[in-house]
Amino acid sequence: MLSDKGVINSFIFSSPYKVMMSIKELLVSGKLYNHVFTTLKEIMLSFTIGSLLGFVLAITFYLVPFLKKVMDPYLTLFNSLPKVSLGPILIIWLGANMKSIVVMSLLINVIVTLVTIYNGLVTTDAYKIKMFKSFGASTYQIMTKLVIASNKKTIFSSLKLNISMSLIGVIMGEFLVSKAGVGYLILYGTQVFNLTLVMAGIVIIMIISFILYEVLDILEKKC
Amino acid sequence: MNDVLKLVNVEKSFNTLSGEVEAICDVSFDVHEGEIIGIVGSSGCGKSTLLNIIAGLDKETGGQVIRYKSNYGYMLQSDALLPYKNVLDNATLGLRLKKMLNDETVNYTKGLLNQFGLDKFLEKMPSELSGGMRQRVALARTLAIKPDLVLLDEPLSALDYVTRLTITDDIYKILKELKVTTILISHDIAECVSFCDRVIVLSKRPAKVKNIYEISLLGDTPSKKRKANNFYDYYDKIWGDLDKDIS
Repeated sequence: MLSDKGVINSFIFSSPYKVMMSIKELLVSGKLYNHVFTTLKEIMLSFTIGSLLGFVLAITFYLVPFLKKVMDPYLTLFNSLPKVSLGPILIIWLGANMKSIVVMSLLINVIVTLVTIYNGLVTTDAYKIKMFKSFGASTYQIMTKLVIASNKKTIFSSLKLNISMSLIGVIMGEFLVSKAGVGYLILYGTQVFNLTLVMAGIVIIMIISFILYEVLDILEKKC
Repeated sequence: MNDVLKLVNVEKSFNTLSGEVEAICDVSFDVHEGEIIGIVGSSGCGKSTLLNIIAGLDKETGGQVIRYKSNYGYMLQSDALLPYKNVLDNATLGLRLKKMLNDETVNYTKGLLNQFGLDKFLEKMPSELSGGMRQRVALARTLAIKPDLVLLDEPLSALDYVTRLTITDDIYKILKELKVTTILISHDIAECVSFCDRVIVLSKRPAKVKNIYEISLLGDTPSKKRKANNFYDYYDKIWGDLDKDIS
Protein backbone atom coordinates (compact mmCIF):
# COMPACT_ATOMS: atom_id res chain seq x y z
CA MET A 1 0.00 0.00 0.00
CA LEU A 2 2.81 2.37 0.95
CA SER A 3 4.48 1.48 -2.31
CA ASP A 4 1.28 2.02 -4.35
CA LYS A 5 0.73 5.43 -2.74
CA GLY A 6 4.32 6.46 -3.46
CA VAL A 7 5.34 6.73 0.22
CA ILE A 8 8.18 4.29 -0.39
CA ASN A 9 10.11 3.73 -3.58
CA SER A 10 8.51 0.78 -5.41
CA PHE A 11 11.69 0.25 -7.46
CA ILE A 12 13.69 -0.52 -4.29
CA PHE A 13 10.96 -2.03 -2.11
CA SER A 14 8.71 -3.44 -4.88
CA SER A 15 5.03 -4.03 -4.03
CA PRO A 16 2.84 -7.07 -3.27
CA TYR A 17 1.07 -6.62 -6.60
CA LYS A 18 4.33 -6.49 -8.56
CA VAL A 19 5.62 -9.53 -6.68
CA MET A 20 2.44 -11.49 -7.46
CA MET A 21 2.68 -10.49 -11.11
CA SER A 22 6.31 -11.54 -11.22
CA ILE A 23 5.46 -14.97 -9.77
CA LYS A 24 2.59 -15.29 -12.29
CA GLU A 25 4.97 -14.41 -15.12
CA LEU A 26 7.46 -17.06 -13.96
CA LEU A 27 4.62 -19.55 -13.73
CA VAL A 28 3.28 -18.83 -17.19
CA SER A 29 6.72 -18.94 -18.81
CA GLY A 30 7.37 -22.32 -17.15
CA LYS A 31 10.54 -21.03 -15.48
CA LEU A 32 9.06 -21.22 -11.99
CA TYR A 33 8.64 -25.00 -12.19
CA ASN A 34 12.30 -25.46 -13.18
CA HIS A 35 13.63 -23.22 -10.37
CA VAL A 36 11.31 -24.58 -7.68
CA PHE A 37 11.91 -28.19 -8.74
CA THR A 38 15.71 -27.70 -8.62
CA THR A 39 15.58 -26.11 -5.16
CA LEU A 40 13.10 -28.72 -3.88
CA LYS A 41 15.30 -31.56 -5.15
CA GLU A 42 18.31 -30.08 -3.34
CA ILE A 43 16.30 -29.49 -0.15
CA MET A 44 14.87 -33.00 -0.11
CA LEU A 45 18.30 -34.53 -0.71
CA SER A 46 19.94 -32.46 1.98
CA PHE A 47 17.01 -32.86 4.40
CA THR A 48 16.87 -36.65 4.02
CA ILE A 49 20.62 -37.23 4.24
CA GLY A 50 21.06 -34.63 7.02
CA SER A 51 18.20 -36.00 9.11
CA LEU A 52 19.35 -39.61 8.77
CA LEU A 53 22.98 -38.77 9.44
CA GLY A 54 22.13 -36.53 12.43
CA PHE A 55 19.78 -39.19 13.83
CA VAL A 56 22.29 -42.04 13.46
CA LEU A 57 25.07 -39.92 15.01
CA ALA A 58 22.80 -38.90 17.92
CA ILE A 59 21.94 -42.56 18.60
CA THR A 60 25.62 -43.54 18.36
CA PHE A 61 26.67 -40.81 20.79
CA TYR A 62 23.87 -41.83 23.16
CA LEU A 63 24.95 -45.47 23.11
CA VAL A 64 28.69 -44.69 23.27
CA PRO A 65 29.07 -41.74 25.69
CA PHE A 66 32.85 -41.98 25.41
CA LEU A 67 32.63 -41.15 21.70
CA LYS A 68 30.47 -38.13 22.53
CA LYS A 69 33.06 -36.94 25.06
CA VAL A 70 35.86 -37.28 22.51
CA MET A 71 33.91 -35.61 19.70
CA ASP A 72 32.38 -32.81 21.78
CA PRO A 73 35.15 -30.18 21.36
CA TYR A 74 35.34 -30.82 17.61
CA LEU A 75 31.59 -30.52 17.25
CA THR A 76 31.55 -27.24 19.19
CA LEU A 77 34.38 -25.91 17.02
CA PHE A 78 32.69 -27.01 13.81
CA ASN A 79 29.31 -25.69 14.92
CA SER A 80 30.75 -22.22 15.56
CA LEU A 81 32.36 -22.10 12.11
CA PRO A 82 30.51 -19.94 9.53
CA LYS A 83 29.76 -22.64 6.97
CA VAL A 84 29.65 -20.19 4.07
CA SER A 85 33.43 -19.81 4.49
CA LEU A 86 33.76 -23.43 3.37
CA GLY A 87 31.93 -22.65 0.09
CA PRO A 88 35.02 -22.00 -2.07
CA ILE A 89 36.70 -25.16 -0.78
CA LEU A 90 33.60 -27.22 -1.55
CA ILE A 91 33.49 -25.84 -5.09
CA ILE A 92 37.12 -26.83 -5.67
CA TRP A 93 36.68 -30.25 -4.10
CA LEU A 94 33.26 -31.21 -5.48
CA GLY A 95 32.86 -28.96 -8.51
CA ALA A 96 30.39 -26.23 -9.36
CA ASN A 97 27.36 -28.48 -9.22
CA MET A 98 24.49 -29.72 -7.09
CA LYS A 99 26.85 -31.81 -4.94
CA SER A 100 28.46 -28.66 -3.51
CA ILE A 101 25.04 -27.17 -2.74
CA VAL A 102 23.80 -30.29 -0.96
CA VAL A 103 27.03 -30.70 1.02
CA MET A 104 26.93 -27.01 2.03
CA SER A 105 23.41 -27.58 3.34
CA LEU A 106 24.46 -30.79 5.10
CA LEU A 107 27.24 -28.95 6.93
CA ILE A 108 24.56 -26.76 8.46
CA ASN A 109 21.76 -29.23 9.17
CA VAL A 110 23.60 -32.33 10.42
CA ILE A 111 24.99 -30.65 13.53
CA VAL A 112 21.64 -29.06 14.40
CA THR A 113 19.82 -32.39 14.01
CA LEU A 114 22.50 -34.24 15.97
CA VAL A 115 22.51 -31.79 18.89
CA THR A 116 18.71 -31.46 19.12
CA ILE A 117 18.02 -35.21 19.00
CA TYR A 118 20.93 -36.10 21.30
CA ASN A 119 19.76 -33.58 23.91
CA GLY A 120 16.33 -35.20 23.79
CA LEU A 121 17.63 -38.76 24.08
CA VAL A 122 19.72 -38.05 27.19
CA THR A 123 16.68 -36.75 29.04
CA THR A 124 14.94 -40.17 28.84
CA ASP A 125 13.61 -41.05 32.28
CA ALA A 126 16.22 -43.15 34.11
CA TYR A 127 13.48 -44.97 36.04
CA LYS A 128 11.91 -46.14 32.79
CA ILE A 129 15.25 -47.39 31.49
CA LYS A 130 15.73 -49.28 34.76
CA MET A 131 12.21 -50.70 34.46
CA PHE A 132 12.96 -51.93 30.92
CA LYS A 133 16.24 -53.48 32.08
CA SER A 134 14.45 -55.22 34.95
CA PHE A 135 12.35 -57.03 32.33
CA GLY A 136 15.56 -58.10 30.59
CA ALA A 137 15.00 -55.75 27.62
CA SER A 138 17.73 -55.71 24.98
CA THR A 139 19.46 -52.47 23.94
CA TYR A 140 17.43 -52.60 20.72
CA GLN A 141 14.16 -52.87 22.68
CA ILE A 142 15.19 -50.03 25.02
CA MET A 143 16.07 -47.82 22.07
CA THR A 144 13.01 -48.52 19.90
CA LYS A 145 10.29 -48.96 22.51
CA LEU A 146 11.48 -46.37 25.01
CA VAL A 147 14.25 -43.93 24.08
CA ILE A 148 13.15 -43.17 20.52
CA ALA A 149 9.43 -43.64 21.22
CA SER A 150 9.44 -41.22 24.16
CA ASN A 151 11.41 -38.66 22.13
CA LYS A 152 9.10 -38.63 19.13
CA LYS A 153 8.20 -35.00 19.80
CA THR A 154 11.87 -33.95 20.00
CA ILE A 155 12.68 -35.85 16.81
CA PHE A 156 9.85 -34.13 14.91
CA SER A 157 10.89 -30.73 16.32
CA SER A 158 14.37 -31.44 15.04
CA LEU A 159 13.01 -32.41 11.61
CA LYS A 160 10.98 -29.19 11.47
CA LEU A 161 14.09 -27.22 12.36
CA ASN A 162 16.02 -29.19 9.79
CA ILE A 163 13.65 -28.02 7.04
CA SER A 164 14.67 -24.40 7.71
CA MET A 165 18.33 -25.35 8.03
CA SER A 166 18.27 -27.29 4.75
CA LEU A 167 16.58 -24.35 3.05
CA ILE A 168 19.18 -21.91 4.39
CA GLY A 169 22.00 -24.22 3.29
CA VAL A 170 20.56 -24.79 -0.17
CA ILE A 171 19.91 -21.09 -0.84
CA MET A 172 23.40 -20.26 0.43
CA GLY A 173 24.83 -22.94 -1.85
CA GLU A 174 22.81 -21.66 -4.80
CA PHE A 175 24.20 -18.18 -4.18
CA LEU A 176 27.69 -19.60 -4.54
CA VAL A 177 27.23 -22.03 -7.39
CA SER A 178 24.07 -22.66 -9.41
CA LYS A 179 22.46 -22.35 -12.82
CA ALA A 180 18.92 -22.80 -11.56
CA GLY A 181 16.94 -22.70 -8.32
CA VAL A 182 15.22 -20.09 -6.19
CA GLY A 183 18.57 -18.93 -4.78
CA TYR A 184 19.81 -18.43 -8.32
CA LEU A 185 16.63 -16.46 -9.09
CA ILE A 186 17.27 -14.14 -6.13
CA LEU A 187 20.94 -13.70 -7.04
CA TYR A 188 20.05 -12.99 -10.67
CA GLY A 189 17.40 -10.46 -9.55
CA THR A 190 20.04 -8.67 -7.42
CA GLN A 191 22.56 -8.58 -10.27
CA VAL A 192 20.09 -7.01 -12.71
CA PHE A 193 18.64 -4.83 -9.93
CA ASN A 194 15.19 -6.40 -10.36
CA LEU A 195 14.11 -6.25 -6.71
CA THR A 196 10.62 -7.49 -7.57
CA LEU A 197 12.22 -10.75 -8.72
CA VAL A 198 14.24 -10.87 -5.47
CA MET A 199 11.06 -10.38 -3.44
CA ALA A 200 9.26 -13.00 -5.56
CA GLY A 201 12.10 -15.43 -4.79
CA ILE A 202 11.78 -14.74 -1.08
CA VAL A 203 7.99 -15.29 -1.21
CA ILE A 204 8.52 -18.60 -3.06
CA ILE A 205 11.04 -19.71 -0.39
CA MET A 206 8.52 -18.86 2.32
CA ILE A 207 5.81 -20.88 0.54
CA ILE A 208 8.14 -23.89 0.13
CA SER A 209 9.18 -23.68 3.78
CA PHE A 210 5.56 -23.41 4.95
CA ILE A 211 4.38 -26.38 2.85
CA LEU A 212 7.25 -28.62 3.99
CA TYR A 213 6.67 -27.63 7.63
CA GLU A 214 2.94 -28.40 7.32
CA VAL A 215 3.67 -31.80 5.73
CA LEU A 216 5.87 -32.66 8.73
CA ASP A 217 3.21 -31.39 11.10
CA ILE A 218 0.59 -33.69 9.53
CA LEU A 219 3.08 -36.58 9.63
CA GLU A 220 3.77 -35.91 13.31
CA LYS A 221 0.06 -36.00 14.14
CA LYS A 222 -0.37 -39.27 12.27
CA CYS A 223 2.59 -40.96 14.01
CA MET B 1 9.92 -74.09 52.79
CA ASN B 2 11.99 -73.71 49.60
CA ASP B 3 14.45 -70.88 49.22
CA VAL B 4 14.00 -68.45 46.36
CA LEU B 5 17.13 -66.44 47.00
CA LYS B 6 20.22 -66.59 49.20
CA LEU B 7 22.71 -63.81 49.81
CA VAL B 8 26.07 -64.88 51.20
CA ASN B 9 28.45 -62.19 52.48
CA VAL B 10 27.48 -59.82 49.66
CA GLU B 11 29.68 -56.75 49.26
CA LYS B 12 29.52 -53.78 46.94
CA SER B 13 31.93 -50.92 46.53
CA PHE B 14 32.14 -48.09 44.02
CA ASN B 15 35.21 -46.40 42.62
CA THR B 16 34.99 -42.64 42.90
CA LEU B 17 37.48 -39.82 42.32
CA SER B 18 38.20 -39.74 46.05
CA GLY B 19 38.80 -43.48 46.19
CA GLU B 20 36.83 -46.64 46.82
CA VAL B 21 33.50 -46.22 48.61
CA GLU B 22 32.01 -49.25 50.33
CA ALA B 23 28.22 -49.32 49.94
CA ILE B 24 27.34 -52.80 51.18
CA CYS B 25 29.40 -54.90 53.55
CA ASP B 26 28.96 -58.57 54.33
CA VAL B 27 25.18 -58.84 53.90
CA SER B 28 23.73 -62.34 54.26
CA PHE B 29 20.14 -63.52 54.39
CA ASP B 30 17.85 -65.91 52.60
CA VAL B 31 14.35 -65.51 51.20
CA HIS B 32 11.81 -68.33 51.44
CA GLU B 33 9.05 -69.04 48.97
CA GLY B 34 5.84 -67.09 49.59
CA GLU B 35 7.18 -64.80 52.33
CA ILE B 36 7.29 -61.03 52.31
CA ILE B 37 10.57 -59.55 53.48
CA GLY B 38 11.04 -55.94 54.41
CA ILE B 39 14.35 -54.11 54.32
CA VAL B 40 14.61 -50.89 56.30
CA GLY B 41 17.55 -48.58 56.74
CA SER B 42 18.39 -44.92 56.92
CA SER B 43 18.34 -42.85 53.76
CA GLY B 44 21.28 -43.56 51.44
CA CYS B 45 22.38 -46.66 53.33
CA GLY B 46 22.43 -48.81 50.20
CA LYS B 47 18.95 -50.40 50.19
CA SER B 48 18.31 -49.70 46.50
CA THR B 49 21.84 -50.83 45.59
CA LEU B 50 21.13 -54.11 47.36
CA LEU B 51 17.87 -54.51 45.44
CA ASN B 52 19.66 -53.75 42.14
CA ILE B 53 22.17 -56.50 42.94
CA ILE B 54 19.36 -58.95 43.74
CA ALA B 55 17.60 -58.01 40.47
CA GLY B 56 20.84 -58.54 38.54
CA LEU B 57 20.94 -54.91 37.39
CA ASP B 58 24.17 -54.36 39.34
CA LYS B 59 27.02 -56.75 40.10
CA GLU B 60 28.23 -57.48 43.60
CA THR B 61 31.96 -56.92 44.19
CA GLY B 62 32.18 -59.63 46.82
CA GLY B 63 30.23 -62.57 48.20
CA GLN B 64 27.58 -64.48 46.34
CA VAL B 65 23.96 -64.07 45.27
CA ILE B 66 22.36 -67.46 44.74
CA ARG B 67 19.18 -67.22 42.67
CA TYR B 68 17.13 -70.40 42.79
CA LYS B 69 14.54 -68.86 40.48
CA SER B 70 15.20 -66.37 37.70
CA ASN B 71 11.93 -64.62 36.86
CA TYR B 72 11.99 -61.39 38.88
CA GLY B 73 9.58 -58.48 38.85
CA TYR B 74 10.86 -55.07 39.90
CA MET B 75 8.61 -52.18 40.92
CA LEU B 76 10.29 -48.82 41.35
CA GLN B 77 9.61 -45.65 43.33
CA SER B 78 8.26 -44.10 40.16
CA ASP B 79 5.43 -45.90 38.34
CA ALA B 80 7.43 -45.44 35.10
CA LEU B 81 4.32 -45.77 32.95
CA LEU B 82 4.82 -44.93 29.29
CA PRO B 83 2.69 -41.84 28.57
CA TYR B 84 2.12 -42.87 24.94
CA LYS B 85 0.63 -46.30 25.82
CA ASN B 86 -2.77 -47.03 27.34
CA VAL B 87 -3.32 -48.89 30.62
CA LEU B 88 -3.50 -52.35 29.06
CA ASP B 89 -0.43 -51.79 26.87
CA ASN B 90 1.49 -50.50 29.88
CA ALA B 91 0.44 -53.47 32.00
CA THR B 92 1.47 -55.94 29.28
CA LEU B 93 4.78 -54.19 28.54
CA GLY B 94 6.87 -56.68 30.53
CA LEU B 95 5.20 -59.56 28.69
CA ARG B 96 6.00 -57.93 25.36
CA LEU B 97 9.64 -57.30 26.30
CA LYS B 98 10.01 -60.88 27.52
CA LYS B 99 8.24 -62.14 24.38
CA MET B 100 5.55 -63.78 26.52
CA LEU B 101 2.61 -61.92 24.99
CA ASN B 102 -0.29 -64.22 24.03
CA ASP B 103 -4.03 -64.47 24.67
CA GLU B 104 -3.54 -66.35 27.91
CA THR B 105 -1.07 -63.86 29.42
CA VAL B 106 -3.14 -60.89 28.24
CA ASN B 107 -6.24 -62.35 29.88
CA TYR B 108 -4.26 -62.96 33.07
CA THR B 109 -3.15 -59.30 33.03
CA LYS B 110 -6.72 -58.16 32.44
CA GLY B 111 -7.69 -60.26 35.45
CA LEU B 112 -5.06 -58.50 37.56
CA LEU B 113 -6.28 -55.08 36.40
CA ASN B 114 -9.79 -56.20 37.24
CA GLN B 115 -8.68 -57.14 40.77
CA PHE B 116 -7.17 -53.66 41.11
CA GLY B 117 -10.47 -52.09 40.01
CA LEU B 118 -9.02 -50.89 36.71
CA ASP B 119 -11.14 -52.97 34.34
CA LYS B 120 -12.99 -49.89 33.10
CA PHE B 121 -9.75 -48.01 32.43
CA LEU B 122 -7.99 -50.39 30.03
CA GLU B 123 -8.09 -47.93 27.13
CA LYS B 124 -7.26 -44.85 29.24
CA MET B 125 -3.89 -43.13 29.02
CA PRO B 126 -1.71 -42.76 32.16
CA SER B 127 -2.32 -39.00 32.21
CA GLU B 128 -6.02 -39.72 32.87
CA LEU B 129 -5.28 -41.76 36.02
CA SER B 130 -4.74 -40.77 39.64
CA GLY B 131 -1.42 -41.47 41.40
CA GLY B 132 -2.87 -44.50 43.16
CA MET B 133 -4.28 -45.94 39.94
CA ARG B 134 -0.95 -45.45 38.19
CA GLN B 135 0.85 -47.41 40.91
CA ARG B 136 -1.74 -50.18 40.59
CA VAL B 137 -1.05 -50.39 36.83
CA ALA B 138 2.69 -50.53 37.60
CA LEU B 139 2.08 -53.40 40.03
CA ALA B 140 -0.10 -55.22 37.47
CA ARG B 141 2.78 -54.81 34.97
CA THR B 142 5.17 -56.34 37.52
CA LEU B 143 2.86 -59.24 38.39
CA ALA B 144 1.78 -59.94 34.79
CA ILE B 145 5.00 -61.85 34.10
CA LYS B 146 4.12 -64.19 37.03
CA PRO B 147 7.40 -63.47 38.81
CA ASP B 148 8.97 -65.88 41.27
CA LEU B 149 10.18 -62.91 43.29
CA VAL B 150 8.81 -59.37 43.38
CA LEU B 151 11.12 -56.53 44.35
CA LEU B 152 9.37 -53.40 45.59
CA ASP B 153 11.63 -50.34 45.90
CA GLU B 154 9.59 -47.85 47.97
CA PRO B 155 6.76 -48.18 45.44
CA LEU B 156 4.29 -46.02 47.35
CA SER B 157 6.60 -43.27 48.57
CA ALA B 158 5.19 -40.72 46.11
CA LEU B 159 1.58 -41.21 47.23
CA ASP B 160 -0.40 -39.33 49.88
CA TYR B 161 -0.92 -41.06 53.25
CA VAL B 162 -4.56 -42.16 52.80
CA THR B 163 -4.03 -43.53 49.27
CA ARG B 164 -0.90 -45.23 50.49
CA LEU B 165 -2.72 -47.08 53.28
CA THR B 166 -5.52 -48.20 50.93
CA ILE B 167 -3.15 -49.40 48.23
CA THR B 168 -0.93 -51.17 50.76
CA ASP B 169 -3.93 -53.30 51.76
CA ASP B 170 -4.81 -54.02 48.10
CA ILE B 171 -1.24 -54.96 47.18
CA TYR B 172 -0.87 -57.13 50.28
CA LYS B 173 -4.07 -59.05 49.50
CA ILE B 174 -2.99 -59.71 45.91
CA LEU B 175 0.55 -60.76 46.87
CA LYS B 176 -0.72 -63.14 49.52
CA GLU B 177 -3.44 -64.49 47.25
CA LEU B 178 -0.93 -65.19 44.48
CA LYS B 179 1.61 -66.42 47.08
CA VAL B 180 4.27 -64.21 45.51
CA THR B 181 7.61 -64.02 47.30
CA THR B 182 8.35 -60.34 47.86
CA ILE B 183 11.12 -58.06 49.07
CA LEU B 184 9.93 -54.60 50.06
CA ILE B 185 12.32 -51.74 50.58
CA SER B 186 11.00 -48.87 52.64
CA HIS B 187 12.10 -46.17 55.02
CA ASP B 188 8.66 -46.34 56.63
CA ILE B 189 8.97 -48.66 59.63
CA ALA B 190 5.19 -48.92 60.16
CA GLU B 191 4.69 -49.93 56.55
CA CYS B 192 7.39 -52.59 56.79
CA VAL B 193 6.16 -54.03 60.09
CA SER B 194 2.53 -54.22 58.97
CA PHE B 195 3.32 -55.56 55.49
CA CYS B 196 6.13 -58.06 56.03
CA ASP B 197 6.67 -61.47 57.56
CA ARG B 198 10.29 -60.62 58.29
CA VAL B 199 12.06 -57.27 58.56
CA ILE B 200 15.78 -56.85 57.98
CA VAL B 201 17.31 -53.71 59.49
CA LEU B 202 20.35 -52.34 57.72
CA SER B 203 22.97 -50.12 59.31
CA LYS B 204 24.06 -46.83 57.79
CA ARG B 205 26.54 -46.94 54.92
CA PRO B 206 28.26 -49.32 54.39
CA ALA B 207 25.09 -51.34 54.87
CA LYS B 208 25.34 -54.36 57.16
CA VAL B 209 22.54 -56.50 58.54
CA LYS B 210 21.92 -55.13 62.04
CA ASN B 211 18.95 -57.19 63.00
CA ILE B 212 16.35 -59.49 61.53
CA TYR B 213 12.85 -59.53 63.08
CA GLU B 214 10.27 -62.26 62.53
CA ILE B 215 6.96 -60.39 62.56
CA SER B 216 3.88 -62.02 64.02
CA LEU B 217 0.83 -59.76 64.13
CA LEU B 218 -2.89 -60.48 64.24
CA GLY B 219 -4.91 -59.31 61.24
CA ASP B 220 -5.29 -60.18 57.57
CA THR B 221 -4.41 -56.76 56.15
CA PRO B 222 -1.64 -54.29 56.93
CA SER B 223 -4.17 -51.74 58.23
CA LYS B 224 -5.56 -54.32 60.70
CA LYS B 225 -2.07 -55.42 61.68
CA ARG B 226 -1.28 -51.84 62.63
CA LYS B 227 -3.93 -52.17 65.36
CA ALA B 228 -2.37 -55.32 66.86
CA ASN B 229 -1.19 -55.02 70.48
CA ASN B 230 2.42 -55.93 69.72
CA PHE B 231 2.71 -53.70 66.61
CA TYR B 232 4.52 -50.93 68.47
CA ASP B 233 6.88 -53.41 70.15
CA TYR B 234 8.32 -54.22 66.73
CA TYR B 235 8.15 -50.58 65.68
CA ASP B 236 10.09 -49.41 68.75
CA LYS B 237 12.74 -52.11 68.39
CA ILE B 238 13.38 -51.24 64.75
CA TRP B 239 13.27 -47.53 65.45
CA GLY B 240 15.81 -48.13 68.20
CA ASP B 241 18.09 -49.87 65.76
CA LEU B 242 17.84 -47.03 63.28
CA ASP B 243 18.04 -44.35 65.93
CA LYS B 244 21.43 -45.55 67.18
CA ASP B 245 22.84 -44.99 63.72
CA ILE B 246 21.43 -41.48 63.40
CA SER B 247 22.73 -40.27 66.75
